[in-house]
Amino acid sequence: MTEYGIRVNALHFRYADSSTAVLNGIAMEIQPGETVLLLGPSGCGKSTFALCLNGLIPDEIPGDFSGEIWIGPYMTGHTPAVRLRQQVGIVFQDPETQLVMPRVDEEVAFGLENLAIPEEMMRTRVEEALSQVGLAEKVRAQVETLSGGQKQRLALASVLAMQPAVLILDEPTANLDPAATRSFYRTLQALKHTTKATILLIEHRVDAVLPLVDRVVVLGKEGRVIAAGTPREIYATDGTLPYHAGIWLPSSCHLARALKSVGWPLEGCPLTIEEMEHAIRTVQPSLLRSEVAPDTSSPSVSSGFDTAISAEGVHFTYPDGTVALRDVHLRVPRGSFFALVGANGSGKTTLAKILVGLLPAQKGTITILGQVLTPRHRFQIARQVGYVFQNPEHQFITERVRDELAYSLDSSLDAEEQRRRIDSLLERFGLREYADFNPFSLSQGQKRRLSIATMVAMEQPILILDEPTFGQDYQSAQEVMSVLHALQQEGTTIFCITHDMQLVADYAHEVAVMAQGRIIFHGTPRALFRRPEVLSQAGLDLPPLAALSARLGLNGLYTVEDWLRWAALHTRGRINVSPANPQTASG
Amino acid sequence: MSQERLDLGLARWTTREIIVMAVISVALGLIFMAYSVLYLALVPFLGQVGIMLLLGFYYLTGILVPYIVRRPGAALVASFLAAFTELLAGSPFGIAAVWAGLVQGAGAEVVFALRGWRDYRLPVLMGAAVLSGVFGYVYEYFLLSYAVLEPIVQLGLFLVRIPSAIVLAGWLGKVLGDGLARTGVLRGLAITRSRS
Amino acid sequence: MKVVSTYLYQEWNTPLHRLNPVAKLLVFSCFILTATLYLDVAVPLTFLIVSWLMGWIFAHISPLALMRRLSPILAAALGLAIFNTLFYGGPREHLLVALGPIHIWREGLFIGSSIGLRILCVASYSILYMWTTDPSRLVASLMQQARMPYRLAYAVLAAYRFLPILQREWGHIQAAQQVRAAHLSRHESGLRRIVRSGMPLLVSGIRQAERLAIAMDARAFGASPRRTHYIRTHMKASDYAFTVASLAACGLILFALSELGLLRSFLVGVAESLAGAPQ
Repeated sequence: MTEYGIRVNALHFRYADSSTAVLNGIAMEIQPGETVLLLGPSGCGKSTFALCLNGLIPDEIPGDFSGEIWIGPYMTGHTPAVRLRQQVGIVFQDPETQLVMPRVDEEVAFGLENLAIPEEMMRTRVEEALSQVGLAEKVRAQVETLSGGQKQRLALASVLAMQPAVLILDEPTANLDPAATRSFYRTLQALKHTTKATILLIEHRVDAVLPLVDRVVVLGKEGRVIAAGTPREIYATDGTLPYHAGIWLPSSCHLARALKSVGWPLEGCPLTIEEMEHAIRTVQPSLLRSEVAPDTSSPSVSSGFDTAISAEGVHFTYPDGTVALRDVHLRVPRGSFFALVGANGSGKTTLAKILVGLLPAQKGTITILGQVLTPRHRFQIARQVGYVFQNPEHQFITERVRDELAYSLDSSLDAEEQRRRIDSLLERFGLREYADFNPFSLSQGQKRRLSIATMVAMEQPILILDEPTFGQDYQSAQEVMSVLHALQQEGTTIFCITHDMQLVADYAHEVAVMAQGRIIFHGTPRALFRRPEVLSQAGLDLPPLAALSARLGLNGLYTVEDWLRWAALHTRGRINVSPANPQTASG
Repeated sequence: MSQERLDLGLARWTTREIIVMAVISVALGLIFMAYSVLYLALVPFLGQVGIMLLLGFYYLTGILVPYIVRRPGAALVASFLAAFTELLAGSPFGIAAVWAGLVQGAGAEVVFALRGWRDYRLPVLMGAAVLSGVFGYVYEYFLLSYAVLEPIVQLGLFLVRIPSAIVLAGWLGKVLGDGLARTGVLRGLAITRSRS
Repeated sequence: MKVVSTYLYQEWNTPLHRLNPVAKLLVFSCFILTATLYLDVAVPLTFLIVSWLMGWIFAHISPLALMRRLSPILAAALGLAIFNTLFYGGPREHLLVALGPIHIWREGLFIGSSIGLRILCVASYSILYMWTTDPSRLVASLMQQARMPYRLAYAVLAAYRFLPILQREWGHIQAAQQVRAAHLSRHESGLRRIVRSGMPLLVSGIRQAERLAIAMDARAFGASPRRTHYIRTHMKASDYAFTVASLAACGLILFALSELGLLRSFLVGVAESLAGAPQ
């Protein structure tokens, strides 16, 4: 396998049916064998760029294309499709829709069939590719039986079998749970030892991938490269770049910036928790000797006398025999922000469906705001509970954003009142200019806000959300969370199913952990983070800041605010403490 | 090695058109299976002739898919795929349904062909639906030996399905196609090009 | 017998499984066609029994399991038989029952049962076929033996892939919409629910279709005029033998039945009724 680099000059592209160009003059150079991370907010053209690199644009996808792209000696648009597609392999984000064949080995062989590889060679190539991703024993399995993470590794194997010189991964873990994500990057890490391919990685959450990456390129909203360099250069603590670009920072970086803004003399930018640990030990060794009491001014648990939801001894088994819930006990305090976490398949969604009345509890009792859910009246009682599904499109019923909101309103309201409420909802959720758009044509972030808005329109005291920040870029995730936070402050009980442990640390008052259909923990996030064995039982990770806290032997520093408070307490008098908003600090 | 003899038309179908056709056919196949439950449940009430009022819905694939992709062969292949999906999913109507799909699809295809695969206005869609019904009737005539029935019943079985086809396949096909186009998800396909 | 999953195909290794899929398709279609050509009870009944025997001997599928799989069709077959009995319009002589306007003729009953049995027969072979045929092999065989264009073949495979995906998705959509509707105490009938949920299903499906198409193109689908095949299907001697033997058996059965006087041709029946001649 030869090594090819990538050269891009003045790349412009506009989709055929669009009036604005997505890519506006991209130029970059990637050395053979390099691993480059491509960052940028949603909609900035990263995926479009990937399709330009393998020639699908302009070969198959119509539009206005200009500029030059060289993959080694081959120029896209002027090279036979077969050669280009073979040399540039892409792994996409959705595990389900990359796989076309019923069986694993057939899937890997698909690309080889397209390339007219001789049949005698196919078997070996298939087996090789599968062992490279750790799926060797699944060679004759049905694709349907694989988990999401395995399917994604299968997609990777199918591309590897074609022996490309360039490997592009377009948000490969966006639809995977934390355990599968970890496994995928472990595979990729191992792969780097055996392949000399040039790798272009497109990702949002960077914590897991920075160790793999040589350089970073940042794309701006207008479709132009706004920064390029080593990770350290990009994330330098004295730059405001990432916030303006709407991209996620590595957690350690986020923290470093915050600490620097209160006067800590941190050099450069620690990219990983290990580096951060080292930096803190170097800068403030003395601080580590003082034990800090867990701060109790964190979001407090409510008095707990008022219960929004309670579950006692709930069981549920699906008709095909899968036991989803075993003896589940739960109490959700009214007005709190409650998180339910656990690996895929642990029963979270089943529990949520029971709470909203979609499924009946087969044993045990559920009480919503004091009323017991009986099988016959479960819909009526569960009317108090709103449910925002993971895929917002599933809930759309009408053809206009305005009508979606109207559908949710109490029909007894008069027209004037309806219009007033709709307008205020549109305003609140940033959808005013889209009032007459078709809901399906909105962006991901807008769709999610709309689906939340339709629930808020019903003014329900309890709101359940299934993975509200899944696969979102920094900006949309922040928007959603601030909306939820505001709702909770107004008295709505928020029940969030999530994988995102940092979200739990930042917002949740209480958290319950599920594994194999059982609740294995119920308490505050702080208490949970002190028990990493519970997290690993559920296939979850400590959020990075909590992990850092644990490594340093400190207690209870799980959010940036915690750290700042701790820093202020211990550096008073020694360093000039000026609490400033880390987001606007310029170093 | 098979050569691509049936190029299915004047220009090569894009992969997207092929897969979109497959997916719509599967989705409709699924909906048909659910619809069949309703269909069979109503037979005791409407009788075998009356139930023909609901039959038109099954011709929808051969109308909706061509309306979207506007390619020669779309009606035939899509109807076949929808029926084949039912077969794969274990529907006991099985192989007979696949033949039915081919025959009905052929009926629609004839009408589109007569208009040069360029005209997809409502009357044409309705005409395609009607001819699907006619071809379907001929097929059933042989499969279920309609010849032994009372002549008036034979006529009823034929006539009642015509308005059903016009409404549940012709008109509904246009409504669904236009609705999908408005969601923006069909950009780049023939239907969107014809609307702009 | 193992539990049947979403797809009917069971990956066993029986003689029927090993047969070339296209050959099997031809033979089964032939049986089915024969069953539909004759307007009597003996032919479809015999071929139905033949399917049981084939399943039992050559695929280790008990007739009971096969019939259980057929049960949804039993109702339809019965309904069809009754319908044809009641509305029988051919040559008739023997009146069995007369209840006001309803007349049940012996000929009608005979032919009605025949048509019902015919449906059962078709269904039995269809299920037997899907039970013993690997879809990938079927598609490969269609490409290699029947010269089906490969683009069409992959449309079929994509359909096969999407079936469980869309089934699951449809469940989620219906649940999501139920939640919205129930909260407003709007009662939505089953029909309304199907219609309402149809749109998001189609939209979601089309989006996913686009993604799959891009993924396929990215792996050079259609980029080269030549293709090789990972799965090779051949017509072995056993396949030819099976085909010839089955067609012979078909003829033999018909001959035997006609010798026994049990055969009555559909075409003959039509000709007679057209000529107005009594039975």
